[in-house]
Formats: sequence, structure tokens, C-alpha cells
Amino acid sequence: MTDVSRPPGSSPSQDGVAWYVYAVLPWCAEVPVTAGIEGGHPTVFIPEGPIMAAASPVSLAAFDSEPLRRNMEDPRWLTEKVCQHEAIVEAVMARSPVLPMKFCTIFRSPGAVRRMLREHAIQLQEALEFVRDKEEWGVKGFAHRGCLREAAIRLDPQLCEMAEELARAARDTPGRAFFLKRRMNDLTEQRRIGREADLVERAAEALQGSVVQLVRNPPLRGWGIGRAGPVSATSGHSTEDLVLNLACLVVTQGVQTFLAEVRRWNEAVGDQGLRLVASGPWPPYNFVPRFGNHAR
Amino acid sequence: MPAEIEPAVAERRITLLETLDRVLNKGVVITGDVTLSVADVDLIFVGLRLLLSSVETARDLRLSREACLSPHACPGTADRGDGRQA
Repeated sequence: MTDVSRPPGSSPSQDGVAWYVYAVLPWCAEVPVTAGIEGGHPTVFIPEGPIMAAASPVSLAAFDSEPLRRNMEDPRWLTEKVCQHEAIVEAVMARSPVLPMKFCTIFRSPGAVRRMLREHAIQLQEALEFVRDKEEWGVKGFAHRGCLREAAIRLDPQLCEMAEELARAARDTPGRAFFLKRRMNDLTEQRRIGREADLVERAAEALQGSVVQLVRNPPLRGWGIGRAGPVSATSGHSTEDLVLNLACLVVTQGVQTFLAEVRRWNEAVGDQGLRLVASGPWPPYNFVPRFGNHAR
Repeated sequence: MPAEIEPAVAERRITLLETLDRVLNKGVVITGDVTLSVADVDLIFVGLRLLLSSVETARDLRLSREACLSPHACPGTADRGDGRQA
């Protein structure tokens, strides 16, 4: 472990340096030192009582409010830095309970980092205890809308009747068949939406028993992407849409049970049009405290 | 990013989108000395969405993500998911 070498209270603004904090963890000696987010500076650990912050120096030329705002408009810069942030947090997570910080939590000096740790000491320690021996897993639900529509036509009595009527009309009265088909399409879509919502609820319920906490995020939060967005997946001639985005906090010892539950769903229900995909373990981003006036 | 959608229970490859969503939107929120307004954070999604709407670009980015999460750069990460399947 590398402790911070800069004396607290030194004036970093003079040399244009600030401190980027990646995560808070319990004080321990067995954490790996990785490269920080900028300029090859190694990650250091700034201790304060029983906890410490994983941090590294960053230049104010790139990370002060104004340049940062500009840099964040560059998707490539942003993506690279987000991935580095994540890699550093994961390196810590491999050895220790960890509270991942939101992207670009930056302080002017190691002293300011220590003050932050002191100010929130109790909540941070409680949060670390809460996530100890637990893992965050993501579960995404992909709806196969063609499959849902087929099931609706097969299983809904009203749609079955309409399908028969349509077959007769197509033979005898093509004009009527045209309008009937439109009505049938509308009703199929209504039923599809209903079936999809029902499966989404049932999937979340099915996982409740094997998780400590479950957060249901909009798919995907803040992205505002619908069917044509990058979270649609094409398989063969059909398209799947991301309709469920769960974050699950799972006891480490119970991860196999949790994954078995996901597998069971896919075996039993997956072919009805909602397939679940788990990913993890993630740092517990969805299960940490949110202080200050930037909570959103 | 179709290649990431696999029928396996645990995705071996982490999706870039999930990483971005977590790191940018979640995590401990604490007021640091350098602050970004909510509007700044919202703004970045516009650029990212444009970027990610190109499948080719998204593929390149995934490669760069895999590179920055290589075992060399980050011990333990390469085993994500794999070790859990035993």
C-alpha cells in the first residue's frame, strides 16, 4: 500500500494538481496499487481513522470544472476515463469491501479528502459494513416482441376468434379483411404490452428471494433510448428490447443460488418472450449513500 | 452491440453501456471541490448516445474497454463471471 506522500495542507492549486477519489474502503494494508486515471500517477490511499480513500493526483488543466465540462463533451475521452475509473475500483474490490464514488469526485488537496472522510465517517463505515461480503449483480431483461405477439395470438381467446374471422374474410370479403387485420394488429399490440409488463413483474418477483436488496432502474437510466437504440439486440430476423434493468445486491455466498434463479427463469419462461441476462460482480454502485446537494 | 447479448446466464463480457450507466449515474455522491452541474452530466449523454448509435464505433470502444481492463492493468478483473460458474 502506498500512503499519500504529499503533506496535507500543501497548496495543490499552485502546481495545478487536484485529487480524484475513486472509492472509500476500510483501512487495510493489502490493496493493490494501480495506475491512476491520468498521467501514470499511481493510486494512493489516503487514510483517516478506520477508513481510507483510493485517490490519485490529476491535473486541474483537465479536471477543473471548466476543462472537465469540455472534456466530458468528448465521448472518447469520457469513455476512456470512465473505464479507467471502473478498473481502479474493481482492483480495490478484488481485495476489500468498497464504496465506489461517482465519476469525477475531485478534491483540491489530500487534506480536503481527509476532511470529507471525517465528515461522513459514520455513514461511510456503516455503508462499508452493509456491503461487506455482498456483491452487486446486474440483471437485464430482454423482451422478444415477436415472440410475445405470437403468444398473445395463440393464447388470447379474443385474438384467436379474430384470427379465424380474418381467415374467413380474407377468402370471402377482402375489403373487410383489411380493416379486420388492422383491428387485430392493434389488439395484438395491446395484449403484447400487457404480457410484457406481466413478465417483467414476475421476473423481478422471482429474484426477490435470492437478493438482499433489489433496485429497479429505468432501462437504461438517462439514456432515453428506445427500440432503435444500442440496447436493442438483433438475433436472426427478430429484435429484442431491453425492458428490465435491475441492480441486485447479493450475499457472496448466495451468488450461485441467485444465478440458478436466473437460469431457472430462462429455462421455464425465457421462450415466452422475456430473457434474463445477469452481469457481475460489480462494485456496489447502486447500494451506497448519496450525500451533498448533488444527489440525483 | 449484438455480440454482447448471449444466452449465457452470466455475461462474460461487461457491456460498456452498463459501465457508463453505473460510473456516471451511481456511486457515492459527495460534494467535492470540483463540481459538475446536473446539466453537465445530462449533456454528456447526448454525445455518448450519438457515439454509441454507431455499431462500429461501439465495437471499437468495447475493445478499448477490454484493453483497459486487461489483467495487467487490473488484477482480478479478467476473471469476472468466469470464476463464478464452477
